[in-house]
Amino acid sequence: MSTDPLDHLKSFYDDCRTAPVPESLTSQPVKLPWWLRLSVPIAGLTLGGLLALLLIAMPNQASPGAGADAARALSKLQIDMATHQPAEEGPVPSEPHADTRRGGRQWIG
Amino acid sequence: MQISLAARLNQAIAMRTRAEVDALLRDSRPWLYRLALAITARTEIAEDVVQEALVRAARSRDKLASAAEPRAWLRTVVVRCAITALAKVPAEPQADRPCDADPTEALAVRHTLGRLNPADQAILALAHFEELSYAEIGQALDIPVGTVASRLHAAREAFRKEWRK
Repeated sequence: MSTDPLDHLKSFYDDCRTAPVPESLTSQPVKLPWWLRLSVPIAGLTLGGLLALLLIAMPNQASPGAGADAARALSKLQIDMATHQPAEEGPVPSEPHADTRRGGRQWIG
Repeated sequence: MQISLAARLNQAIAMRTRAEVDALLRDSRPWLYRLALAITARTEIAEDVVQEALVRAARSRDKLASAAEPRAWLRTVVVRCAITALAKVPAEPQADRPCDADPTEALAVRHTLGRLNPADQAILALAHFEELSYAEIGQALDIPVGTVASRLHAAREAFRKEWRK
């Protein structure tokens, strides 16, 4: 005597009625107190505001000093080049490296 | 005009609070998962179906809050999500273990269900897992009550035919 296939289906459905539910569907999100939930966006806004202020203020502070230093260095270099004298500071080659065969300058260390 | 006003008044009275809707969604999860499992016969799809259904329910919170039968409303959402999900996956189910007192029988049922079309899987679950009336099945599948009997008969026959293959 063969059973109706639908009996197997009904048996399967009976098992489904007691099937374990995945943890992802049963776990509850953690509910924080209101003051803690509120503190997160406030801290974010404060930090963001401070960062924005810092970015706005930085170029104004750095540019005058940096510009003056650069101008001084450039004028000194121009003077050195005009007098054909090497700069006071900086590396001085210890051995001749210029091409002396064609009467080029010779540096004596 | 008076009828419309009365209907709106009834709706306002029946309106659930946000906390009630949240509790309804939370408490319905096991039932929704098991319904999705009965339809899809695959644990991983059932889980995705419930997640999707919960997202849709959360988006339509107002409808759920004012639904005359929130359970029926949620059932309809899960059935639609399940049919959509089944239409996207290959027909043959993989070997996993949803709920098996007898693994061989459960596996055979899953394989048989996997060869049916998604609408047949849904109507079989609504009739034999949920044990709904024709009117309730028609509501869940959005088909006339008169069509339910013929669709259910066809689904049962399809299951028997696939089982014997």
